[in-house]
Amino acid sequence: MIAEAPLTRPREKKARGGRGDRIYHVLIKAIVGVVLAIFAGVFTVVVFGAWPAVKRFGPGFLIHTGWDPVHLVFGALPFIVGTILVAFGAMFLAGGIGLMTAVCITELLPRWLQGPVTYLIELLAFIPSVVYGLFGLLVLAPFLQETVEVWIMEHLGPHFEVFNGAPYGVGYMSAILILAIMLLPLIVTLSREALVLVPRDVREGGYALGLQKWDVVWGIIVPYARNGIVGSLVLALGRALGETIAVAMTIGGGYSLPKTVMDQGYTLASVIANEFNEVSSDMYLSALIYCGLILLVITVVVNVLAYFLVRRLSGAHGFKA
Amino acid sequence: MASKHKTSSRTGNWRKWRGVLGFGLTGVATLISLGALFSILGYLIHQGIGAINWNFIVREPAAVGEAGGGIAPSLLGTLILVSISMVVGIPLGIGVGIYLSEIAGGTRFASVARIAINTFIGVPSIIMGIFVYFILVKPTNTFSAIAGGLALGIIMIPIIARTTEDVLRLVPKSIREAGLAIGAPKWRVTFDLVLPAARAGVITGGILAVARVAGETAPLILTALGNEYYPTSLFKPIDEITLRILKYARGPYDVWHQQAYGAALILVFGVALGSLLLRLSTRDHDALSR
Amino acid sequence: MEVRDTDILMSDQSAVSLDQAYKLRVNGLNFYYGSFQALHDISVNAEKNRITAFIGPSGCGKSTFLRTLNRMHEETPEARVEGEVLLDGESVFDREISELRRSVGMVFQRSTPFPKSIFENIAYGLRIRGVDSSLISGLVEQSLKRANLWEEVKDKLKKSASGLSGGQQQRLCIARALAVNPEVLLLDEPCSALDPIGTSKIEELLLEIKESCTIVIVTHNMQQAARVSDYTGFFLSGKLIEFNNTKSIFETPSSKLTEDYITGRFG
Ligand SMILES: Nc1ncnc2c1ncn2[C@@H]1O[C@H](COP(=O)(O)OP(=O)(O)OP(=O)(O)O)[C@@H](O)[C@H]1O
Ligand SMILES: [Mg+2]
Repeated sequence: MIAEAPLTRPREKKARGGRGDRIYHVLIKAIVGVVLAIFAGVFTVVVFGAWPAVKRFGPGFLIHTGWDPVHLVFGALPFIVGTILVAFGAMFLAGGIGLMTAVCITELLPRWLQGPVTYLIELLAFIPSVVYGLFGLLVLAPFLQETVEVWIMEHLGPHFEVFNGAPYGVGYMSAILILAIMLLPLIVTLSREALVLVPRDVREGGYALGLQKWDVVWGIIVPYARNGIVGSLVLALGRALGETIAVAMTIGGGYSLPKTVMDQGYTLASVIANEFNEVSSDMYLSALIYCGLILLVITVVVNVLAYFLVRRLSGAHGFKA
Repeated sequence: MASKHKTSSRTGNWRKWRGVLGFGLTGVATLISLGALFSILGYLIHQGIGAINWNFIVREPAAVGEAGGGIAPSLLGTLILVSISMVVGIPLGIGVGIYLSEIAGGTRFASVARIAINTFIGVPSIIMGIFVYFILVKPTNTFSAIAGGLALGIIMIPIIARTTEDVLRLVPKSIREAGLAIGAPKWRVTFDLVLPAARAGVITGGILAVARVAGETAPLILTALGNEYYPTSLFKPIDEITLRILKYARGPYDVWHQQAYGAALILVFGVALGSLLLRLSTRDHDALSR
Repeated sequence: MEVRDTDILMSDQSAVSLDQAYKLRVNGLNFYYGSFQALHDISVNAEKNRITAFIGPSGCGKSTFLRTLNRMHEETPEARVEGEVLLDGESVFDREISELRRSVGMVFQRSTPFPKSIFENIAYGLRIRGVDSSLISGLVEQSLKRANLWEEVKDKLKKSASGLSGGQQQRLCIARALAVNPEVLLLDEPCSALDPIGTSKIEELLLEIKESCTIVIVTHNMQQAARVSDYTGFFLSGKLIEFNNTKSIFETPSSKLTEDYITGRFG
């Protein structure tokens, strides 16, 4: 039937849109081209900047410790470990608290309170990183130093190696706590959206079975919203891995693998921010960019993952992060 | 099934208590979340309000460690950097949003572009700093306002692109068809009918993106650098409010700390104002989908 | 089953005279949404200055058919057309698209006023056409009068069009289509969202404008087709089952399927 269609003609050019439309299409496509070229350029430039270090240190850079700008010996393992520890530490805290907060907002709070509480928590998302860093550096770190860390050192230190550190204030513990606070609004907002999307009849079906409210919430509603919740957690993880300035201000700085929760160290992002203006040689700069390249690859992978997870939940577009 | 109804009162009790415990924990979590918000905001206001006065806003920084002085150059620099970023980010971002919503539809290229956009929203901003450092700062041998603005602009592009795409899609298809049906070319349908109908949402996205980049610090360390003076040229290093906060927070002087709080308070206030506008204008664009 | 032009014109005629009698001619039209074929080999003509109606149950392809007439289907990415659609003997697929759509206007089921003022809703199409701005307000008035809307809106031209009633909005859309002086007006269930008064106003209006315009209307409402149209076609599952002058279709349908539909036995 399709084969024998003598009457279809190839569209002639003039049958498509007029001149205005052609200009419009060319213009918009040019913009898209420029933007995609910028994106591609970002990758290229980072690879280019990291290239001297990549050539010199190879993949061993990822598994070696040692950061010596004088003798030009570099290994990013401490920063990779630092990035993972800080990100997952913060995710552990913020994930639990954030998810429970979202459940509380949607399932427990009366309707008139839901809006204001949500708004207040969203407000947290509008506070710039540097302000969290400021708070972490000047308020949280000294507070931890004088109270919690002293207590930990005295009481837990003798028994557990991970607590056997000196109370510096700034360090992993401060960085993790500050980052956790920063991640809260993102996790609360996105999980709340996922929970709100659970259809009414799913909820009512649970109650119709005679289940208690908590069993419905925990056994039916949360599992139903699972994809959205996981999506929000993965998005937050992406943010956590890449957070720069707040971590740079609170983690203290250090080039070796952490041994205790109170140690000082660096993440991939924060080492760049803190050391960039101190670089003394091209190879040092390149080693920092190599760290950037590792970070870029990690965050791209995590974000692509998040994109597909979130899209599966909410159709073609995902929701706002 | 039937056996379920014969739960003993002990398990029934446990179930009840489990609920109380569970919801209790969620309540505690909510209090922690709100507590974090209020302690940060409260502390900021408490410490910062004292630093803010007229001089703080109109003066240059005082000599190192001395009292007095202000952050006027940083405020001005922020304004300049954000303006440059808008020049870069708004047209490119809106253009991509229009492409995704109005032209590309469901093609394979569109989905690649869409993934690229969503991925780039999540790329750490310091990476954009590295990019601009290599293409602008190193070749010209100087940190500059242009470089900083460009880095911020690039960060803006995917944010604006995505919100634009989303709000344009909320415009009913029937408006586009009605436009085309009276013989309007596509570009006029987009610019005369679709964009105006989505105006509130597009503006909202713009505010969101501006608020986001106004709080960026990391890429500016690699591009704008910061300094102590009023900006004199777009091709020289320029100060910015978050760079100023960073410097003062890290300094050893109490005066600096106080001024850091003051500057942070101004920044948060500005950005929160943006969020308020956002909230007000999203009401409009909710109405639009009907 | 389907009825060729010759059945109506009765004698053998050359293509040229067919083009004179018929504003629109459709020949062997097949329509696909991806792999789904929505229209099967449709051939039908619409006579100049007459109202041609198409009826049929939901999903039978009426809108799809109507939309191919001014190539609105091209806005659906997966849509594909085979066959001929001729406007005054010239294939619509060879025309410049915006210019085609000015000649072949369209009014949709749900009124779609632009998010602009009443005045601008009509002026917009004129501006697009490059009509001199000094003429615009006169033409707006004239179109509103043609659409029997002028008296109702003349005092609130600057107000937003969304404040009008459903029927007024629909007449505004008709006025908007008329403003650019189309040769053909396509209407896709223009009255389905209206009350009987709104409906009868539109029907009166159609009978007036057919003096200057060829009208093709799709409707769910068989009484409406019987009241206003000169010719009626009956669609079922993407096939044009029967096409004839309206009187014959409703009084002596030649197909059992048509008869079942118009007597309400299904659909
Ligand atoms: N965009 C599309 N993609 C795929 N199939 C479509 C699309 N639009 C319509 N169809 C299908 O084509 C067939 C004809 O649809 P059409 O809208 O033309 O019907 P209709 O006769 O106008 O119905 P109604 O009276 O409900 O408006 C239907 O089966 C419909 O499901
Ligand atoms: Mg239809």
